[in-house]
Amino acid sequence: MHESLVELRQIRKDFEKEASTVAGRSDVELLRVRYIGRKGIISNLFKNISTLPPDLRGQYGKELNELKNDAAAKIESLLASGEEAAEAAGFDPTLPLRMDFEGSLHPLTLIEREAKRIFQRMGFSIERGPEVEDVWHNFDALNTPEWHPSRDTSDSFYLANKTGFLLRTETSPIQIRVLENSQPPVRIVGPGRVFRNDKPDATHHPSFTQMEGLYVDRGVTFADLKGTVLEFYRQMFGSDVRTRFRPHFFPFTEPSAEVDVSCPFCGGEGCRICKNSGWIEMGGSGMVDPNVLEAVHIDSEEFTGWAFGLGIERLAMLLYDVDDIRLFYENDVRFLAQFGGRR
Amino acid sequence: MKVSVNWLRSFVEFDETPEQIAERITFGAFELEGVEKIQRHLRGLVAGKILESKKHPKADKLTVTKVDVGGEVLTIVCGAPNCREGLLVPVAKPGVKLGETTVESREIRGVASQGMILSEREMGLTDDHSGVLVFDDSMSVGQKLDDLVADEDTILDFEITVNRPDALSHLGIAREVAAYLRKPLHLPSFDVQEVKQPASDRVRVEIAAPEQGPRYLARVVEGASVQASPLWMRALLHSLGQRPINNIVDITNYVLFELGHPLHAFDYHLVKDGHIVVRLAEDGELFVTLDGRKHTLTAEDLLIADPEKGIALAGVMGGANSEVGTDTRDILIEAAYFDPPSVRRTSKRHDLPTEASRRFERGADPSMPPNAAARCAELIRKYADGKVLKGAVDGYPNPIEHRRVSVRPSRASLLLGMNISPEQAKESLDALSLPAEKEGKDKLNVTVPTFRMDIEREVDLIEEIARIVGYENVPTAQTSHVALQARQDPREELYDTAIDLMAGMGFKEIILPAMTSGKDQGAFDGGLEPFEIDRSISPEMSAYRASLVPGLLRTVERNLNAGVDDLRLVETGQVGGKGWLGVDGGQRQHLAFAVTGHARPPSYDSSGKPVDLPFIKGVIASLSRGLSLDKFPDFDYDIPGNLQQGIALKGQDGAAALIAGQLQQNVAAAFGIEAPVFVCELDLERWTAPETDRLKRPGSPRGYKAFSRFPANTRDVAFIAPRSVRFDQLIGTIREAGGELLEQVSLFDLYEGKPLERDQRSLAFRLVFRATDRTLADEEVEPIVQKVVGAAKKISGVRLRS
Repeated sequence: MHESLVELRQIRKDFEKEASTVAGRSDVELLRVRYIGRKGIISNLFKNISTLPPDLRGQYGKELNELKNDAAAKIESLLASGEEAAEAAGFDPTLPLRMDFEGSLHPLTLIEREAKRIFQRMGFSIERGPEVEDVWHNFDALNTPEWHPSRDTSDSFYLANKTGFLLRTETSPIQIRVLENSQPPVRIVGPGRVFRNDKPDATHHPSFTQMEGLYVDRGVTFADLKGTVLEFYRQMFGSDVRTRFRPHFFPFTEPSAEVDVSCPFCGGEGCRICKNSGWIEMGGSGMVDPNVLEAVHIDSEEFTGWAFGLGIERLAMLLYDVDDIRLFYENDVRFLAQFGGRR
Repeated sequence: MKVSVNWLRSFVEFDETPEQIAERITFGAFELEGVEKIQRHLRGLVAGKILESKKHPKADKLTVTKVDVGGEVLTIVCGAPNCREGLLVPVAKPGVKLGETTVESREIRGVASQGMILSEREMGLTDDHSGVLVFDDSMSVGQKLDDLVADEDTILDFEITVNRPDALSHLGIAREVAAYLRKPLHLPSFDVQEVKQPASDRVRVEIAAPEQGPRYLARVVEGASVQASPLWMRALLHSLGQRPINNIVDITNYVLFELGHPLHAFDYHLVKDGHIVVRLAEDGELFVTLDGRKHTLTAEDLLIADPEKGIALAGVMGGANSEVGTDTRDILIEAAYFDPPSVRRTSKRHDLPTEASRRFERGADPSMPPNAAARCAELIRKYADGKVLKGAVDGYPNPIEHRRVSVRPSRASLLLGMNISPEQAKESLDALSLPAEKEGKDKLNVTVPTFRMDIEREVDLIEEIARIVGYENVPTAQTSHVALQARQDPREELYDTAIDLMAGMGFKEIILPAMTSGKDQGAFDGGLEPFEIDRSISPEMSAYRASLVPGLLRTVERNLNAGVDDLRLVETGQVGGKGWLGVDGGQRQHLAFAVTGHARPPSYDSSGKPVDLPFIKGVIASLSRGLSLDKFPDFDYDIPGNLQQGIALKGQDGAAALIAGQLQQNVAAAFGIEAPVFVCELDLERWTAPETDRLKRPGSPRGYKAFSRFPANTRDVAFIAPRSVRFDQLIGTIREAGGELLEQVSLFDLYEGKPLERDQRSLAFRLVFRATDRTLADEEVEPIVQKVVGAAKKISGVRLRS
């Protein structure tokens, strides 16, 4: 056999061997370029035909064409089988998700809204009031004695460029504003920021959030207060909590009481959160002082009422187990992002 | 207020434990703030006499003593500097327990020591460890010390509410306990052993300011010897947190904690002629209080004076010039009642809060001076060997009358929501030493004792009844009235909806203190006029904010520094003063947001696009739609100088209700932010004018616009326009020329770059034509398209892109 034919057959063997070992589309592509590309091994052999003896040219040409066609077909089939394999693997469903930036409500908002919803279900409406308040609404109308420490410039934030105004020290002036503009029956809760001259630490912040409750009508009693407050905390913490009322003094209520809730985390047994007392102090309450009603021209003989206050931060710290009130006001998104959804 | 349970038991007998008593008081009146167990070590101790005291052979500071403890003589090594021969001292023999440790015989530097000689601190009596305790002659050698002072006591610390100065004493707390337990209250004896000479021989009291100083009573004790007070008194005062000083001072303190009435003792001979003048100070009068501080008085300060000089700041502190010292023999005791506001102002003006001022400014008992002075004089007689002159000199020109207050048991029942019978009401009041007399069927008349100045009205008595009945015995209502009139202010829903919408767009709600840095407010916009806080706690909280934006920027900075690059933050809150929107005064509810980073989160196969103004416009449009306002807000582009690009919206009143845009770089840099940051602040109410007309549903019209059921005919047209031609001009022209059949037009491609000139851009619009009653044929649409093209080309420089 002529050596050129031997070479041709060797090339076929080489091609077949290489074709049997390719892996992946890029290998096939390389194989194609190497053998049947414009300057490929097989393509180059066509130039040889003219140099061969004439009797050999027919057979050589035929075999070369066959080789070229076979190689092309093989490459085609290799490519096709690659596609098939990719198709069989399908789309990778475990790729990371695509998502827009995630928004969130502040934890204090989540708790405040839950408290609002509970009271709204009981027939209370929500009222707001100005954070910058005048002395009459913040103190005088609330029966705050002239000597009461809260009036002191060292306890409260008065404004330097707006005489007679201060940042409200509690949400109670909301009571006054509502009663000034409406006649009983009044059933409202008033959430909002309040301000006191406390140095920030883990449990104090000079700006914090309170929620005021007020109910004035004929025949409103201390028993009503106890019932409403208990029901609120039951809806907030769970139906097995208990409340207890202790005497206290607030200028705007008489009788006055502080409210404790049995620790919902240990059932009153005593734990880290309730400092082993089984009870958690939640806020003040009492029967609206007649002087407060009279200040807004409501007959205190005909109407009675109760009021209470609670701290939103306190609830949020308990319910979310947050040990430092300052975290709420730092607004680090790594903190905020942890509070999602509706409580 | 610290209360010794042992002392309390001398006023009222009870079997309850200290913990049980603390709980009764907590649920009756005052919250328990702390409990301290006192443990003294007197059991097994004896008095011993030091017979001999020699220096320790091997230690300079030690002495070797021989102590006679009655029947035996012990050798004891002692380290106290005052240890010397002849002293009568407390001795702990080997085997005696001092708390956890047991005293043993042991060698101290080569000398065998058979016990210990003790200091007051080692016995748990006081803090005094300057030397060993030395007894006077009343103690005999070998006498057991077990019963000298009680070994155990419990100190209960109560938070006394500001309305109850009467409870700032053991007597006052005992009165409460007696009421809860319905036990009799034992008052201390006010009897005095007096000599014949009357006090009026030696003292004159002149009240020149009866309004500020209604009562001034003086007693005189002569020949007293100032020394240490008795051990039991020192130990008691120590357990109440008071440092024992000398018998005279300690006795006035003792009476203060016993009866709650502040007293003062003067050295009689330092009061000129024994003549007391209760007068107002002269403006500018100088006075040195006994703590050594010098005060310039005003004409509003009440002064206790003699004819020559001031000797005490009334109800606050005595003067250095008349203080009792170790040489004092004759003592003038002051027991007075001062007007609360006067004492309060003086104490505050001169920054002198004292145990005395604390009681006088809340209201002492004007009837107490005779008893308090008698008690004090008798104790000085007893423990300082004084002679008490007969009687007191009492300046009380206008005696304060007892108040009479009535209460209707029916009113108590109504207020509490439980039945309170007249008998129950009377019994409760009587228990509290508030004598009540029945008048008719439904009235109790109470003569209010002067120690309860807080009781003025019927409701105050109802509270007293409620306390004694027990808050826990008031029923807990299971139902309540329903207020049919409950309404909701529509603004509340508006605020909540706005925040919900923002959260839905990927914003994190933040809440900042409304007190903020005044400097930051100015750095954001020099035109802001926030309210300044008079006595702020820090520069970071020196102002009440006029704009929400500076706080947002600080929060952006904080989070960027924490490594979070994509931030969308929103806050709603009140602002005051003159703000960024240019509206002055009043309190407004604002919403503000800040954005930096990407408009969409970058992902593994897309790099994301930075936030730009169109993104911000989209946020505002979405908010607008969500609040049921205009679908396409009518932006204008008149923006303040602290933005490099931005938009504004006018409110219903014509003033700016919203401003948004990209912050100038130098402004952002003032907040430590390098990245482009976009901010927006808006006045929710002025923007939305929340609907109160219930016939209209927010944002939704009555009726709806009919929509076509025929297909649309869509055409694309592209223009090449100079950059000076703004998008809104072009689209406005297209809309106008397109007429009624042009249902919608939108920009679907914007191209700048080659082959266009540098000042040109290509804008491709998609025009959607539709009729309500027919399918639009091409022949009908084509002329409109030509009209649109014609209109656009009339704008200078605009041509159709072929």
